[in-house]
Amino acid sequence: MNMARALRTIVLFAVLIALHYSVRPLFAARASVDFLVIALLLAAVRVRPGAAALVGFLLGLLMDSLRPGTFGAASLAMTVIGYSASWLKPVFFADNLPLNAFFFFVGKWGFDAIYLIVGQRLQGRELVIQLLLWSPLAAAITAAVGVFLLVFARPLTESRSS
Amino acid sequence: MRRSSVSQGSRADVIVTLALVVLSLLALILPPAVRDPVASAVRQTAGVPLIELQERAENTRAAFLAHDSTSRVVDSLALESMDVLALRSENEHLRELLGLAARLRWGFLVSSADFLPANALGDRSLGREVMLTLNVGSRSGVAPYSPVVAPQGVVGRVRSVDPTSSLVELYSHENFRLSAMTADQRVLGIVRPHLGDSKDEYMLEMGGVQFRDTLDAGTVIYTSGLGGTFPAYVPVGTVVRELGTAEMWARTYLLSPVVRPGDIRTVIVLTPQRAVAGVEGVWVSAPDSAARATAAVGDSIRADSLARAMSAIAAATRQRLLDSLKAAGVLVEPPRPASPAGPPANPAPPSPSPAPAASPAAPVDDSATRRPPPALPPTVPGQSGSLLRAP
Repeated sequence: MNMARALRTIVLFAVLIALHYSVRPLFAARASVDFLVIALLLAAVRVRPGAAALVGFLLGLLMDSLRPGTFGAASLAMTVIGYSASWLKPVFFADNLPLNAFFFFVGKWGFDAIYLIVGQRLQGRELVIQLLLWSPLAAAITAAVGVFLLVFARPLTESRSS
Repeated sequence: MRRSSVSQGSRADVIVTLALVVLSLLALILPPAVRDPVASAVRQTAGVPLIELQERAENTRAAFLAHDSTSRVVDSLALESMDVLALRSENEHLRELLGLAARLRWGFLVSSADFLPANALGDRSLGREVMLTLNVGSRSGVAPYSPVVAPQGVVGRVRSVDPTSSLVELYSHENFRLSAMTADQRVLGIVRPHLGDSKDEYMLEMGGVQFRDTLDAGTVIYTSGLGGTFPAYVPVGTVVRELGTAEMWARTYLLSPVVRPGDIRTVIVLTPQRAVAGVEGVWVSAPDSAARATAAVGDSIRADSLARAMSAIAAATRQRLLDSLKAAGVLVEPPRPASPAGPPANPAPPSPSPAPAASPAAPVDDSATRRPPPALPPTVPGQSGSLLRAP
């Protein structure tokens, strides 16, 4: 990854974080797009698993700081998702959009599952509904937006020489 | 997603990841006393711009969601403020009405007024409000031709009366006529609706003003009391300008009515007894009345002085004539005293009419101070009761 490509990736990463805190509150829906997971997955496929885990941990720490009731849950979930995404990246092929969509879907759903279970904010029936209804919906929306960004942001994130 | 050249992972990655997982688990089990300062530190450093972004987004959403309710509140407030303005105007009108009622004291009826729909009158109204309906009728004492007034002045007159309602002909009705005058009674005329161009809608005109009399713009015109419907001194309108007419012997003035149809909500109907008793001092203030009375007295005194001077001149002339006749040897009889029982052989001419400027509303009885004019000698001998007799 050359310098320009790394810089563009960082800019896209920052933009996605900003979008998470500026666009997502506008809708305030139970099933909404998670730009932080998209940012983590886009970064994770480009770095080593340890670095991806570190990025995930830092993003999770940021999320936890704004939600002190579940402090540590987002860090753990993002660390696991970052490491897993980076470790699983050879599985996914470059230009297969459905597979990439599934990648985003699983990433978001996995994050929600770890976060909800570890954070213990929801229990019982509510937890089941959230995990089986709202989280898949949010994961689907996140996957759609992720694929959209992947397609339209590819000129930014790939080197011209390749 | 393009495959990266980075290797799939090493022991270092696993160790780092495990360390981060352990840190996360530690964060989960940390007591709040330790956890909160860490979260606060993150919020106050890296979280500051993100928190601002989130707050702005939440505020935007709240504003968006509140837009409809805010619009409803603003609309409600606008409507209520309009109601407040209307109520304030009505309150002021009612206060004026109360003031008028307090000055009138007796002989009137207060009624709410509604305009008769123009389509009920056919095409005669030409879009003007010309008729009113009142919710008082003959049972309340309203009689036909009763004057209808507002705190500002003339509104119209009752045209027909039912037991519980009345129909009022507004001053804008084409048949409306009113005898009017200025406050000093110097100028008299007939007021009628001005049926001219539409920009002068609801204007009045005062015709029949003697050509020698001129009125300045802004002069207030009152009812004269002539005609038997309206008592004197009810404001009718103010002079706007003189109208050019084909009449060369009289002037016509355009008047702006003191009562606009839009201001008519509650009116006062004067009973016939009250109209006969007069309303002087109700609309015209007491100083004005006193000034008019003073002017009338002054006019009367001036007329009396003139009569005295004329009497003196006549007496001197008569004395000179008698002296001349005596000198010429003509016998002159003294004038016979008038018989108290029978009519005088030479009845005195009717007393001179009062001076035009004298107020009929405040007449001054000057018969006690005014001497009857002396009988002047006839200029043609033998034409009437002659004082001359041939020797």
